[in-house]
Amino acid sequence: MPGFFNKKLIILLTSLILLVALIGFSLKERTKLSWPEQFVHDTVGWFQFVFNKPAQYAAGLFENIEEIRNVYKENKKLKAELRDYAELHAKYYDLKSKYENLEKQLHVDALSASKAHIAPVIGRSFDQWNQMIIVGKGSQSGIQKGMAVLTPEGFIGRVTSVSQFTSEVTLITDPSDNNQISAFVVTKGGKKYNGMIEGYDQNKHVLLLKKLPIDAKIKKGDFVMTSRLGGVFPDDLLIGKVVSVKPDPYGLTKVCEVEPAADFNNIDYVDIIEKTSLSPNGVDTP
Amino acid sequence: MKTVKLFLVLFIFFILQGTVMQVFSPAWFGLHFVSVPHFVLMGTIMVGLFYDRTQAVWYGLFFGFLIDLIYTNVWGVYAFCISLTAYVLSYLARVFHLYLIIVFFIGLAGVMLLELEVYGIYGLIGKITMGFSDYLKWRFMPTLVVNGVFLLITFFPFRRLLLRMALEQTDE
Repeated sequence: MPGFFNKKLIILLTSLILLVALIGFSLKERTKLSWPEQFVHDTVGWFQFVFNKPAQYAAGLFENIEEIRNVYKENKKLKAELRDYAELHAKYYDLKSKYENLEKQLHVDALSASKAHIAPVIGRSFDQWNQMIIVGKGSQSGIQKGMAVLTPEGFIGRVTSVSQFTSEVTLITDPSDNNQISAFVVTKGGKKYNGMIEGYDQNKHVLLLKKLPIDAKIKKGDFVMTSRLGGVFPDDLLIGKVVSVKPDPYGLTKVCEVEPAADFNNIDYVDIIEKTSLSPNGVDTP
Repeated sequence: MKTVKLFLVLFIFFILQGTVMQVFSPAWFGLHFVSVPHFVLMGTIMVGLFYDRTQAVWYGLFFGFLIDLIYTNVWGVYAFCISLTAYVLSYLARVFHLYLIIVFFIGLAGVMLLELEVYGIYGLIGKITMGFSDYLKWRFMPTLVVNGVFLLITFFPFRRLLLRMALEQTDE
């Protein structure tokens, strides 16, 4: 019997070594998926689509019932907000036309031009350690790695791998180290401070915005947007609102806690933003 | 033919845990706690108990790797953990009579084992920032409940399929 036991032990040890090797291989940042991977993703994606649709309709029905109960309260609140809306609307168009004129005078192609692809969500990582969703559009529809992904409420993440008909989106709540996003805070006074979104607090449900200048005058309630300085996303996609500001442990920079504007749990459609602008010196930055 | 059926059933479990269960998750309805469906694990454990241990390991490796590929960006963790858990627990088939209640508790033990294994490995590579006490508080019980209920629902039809397969195997 001892020989038999040894064989099992050797198999266990070999598979442990194999596991470590596989983890090491897959943690490496790869630019593209190989075709067998793409094939698996697309095949599974089709089944996910078939199973996900009816489930979302059913869940939508429950939500509708819930919404009907809240309609009266919401209506009151919306009416109050609507009063400000007309004024804001007029102001927006005024500013927009001014901005476009100035842009033309400067001979710059629109700095913030972008195009949105609407894609259905067809699956999601079931363990909460990986914060990824799978969407039903891929490179055939022009999706590329690194594009920004939004819901109507705000920014949720970026495309991290693409196959022909599906792609994977890593949410900003994913704790992996390379999940960093260049962002800025815009204060009520119109000042901009650049920083980086680095990490998510799973207990408080807030994003951490770090590397802000120590003398930045940021208040609770200021908005946080994506920045085009990271070279990946277009400007001005809403990420969330500042809930607290404090200096970092070394006192060199400031750290903000940001409450995300988007709801990460309840996603059925997303917008994938393709950046189509030219940078001022004429070099294409896809 | 039966093998194809078993494969399809496990594939449906695999699809369910990433699609339907995510739509009907507590978080979708605005609740804070997390329940993680481990249906593929439930399937492989039952394959190991009622049908064949080696088959269970192969199914565990295949579907585990599919999970790694589709739902995570780290390869091999679920493939290793699911097949190991199913393999170890299949030895209990010799010790106990496999009534519903016994299999129910074996399944729950499997979920606990898998969760701890994955927590350990992901913790090592820095994927988890949640502390262990928060993990126990928000995740442990709801996960057990969801998988337990799933096991109760699928136990009889799935066992019938597996026992027929085992019978065919002994006939040959």
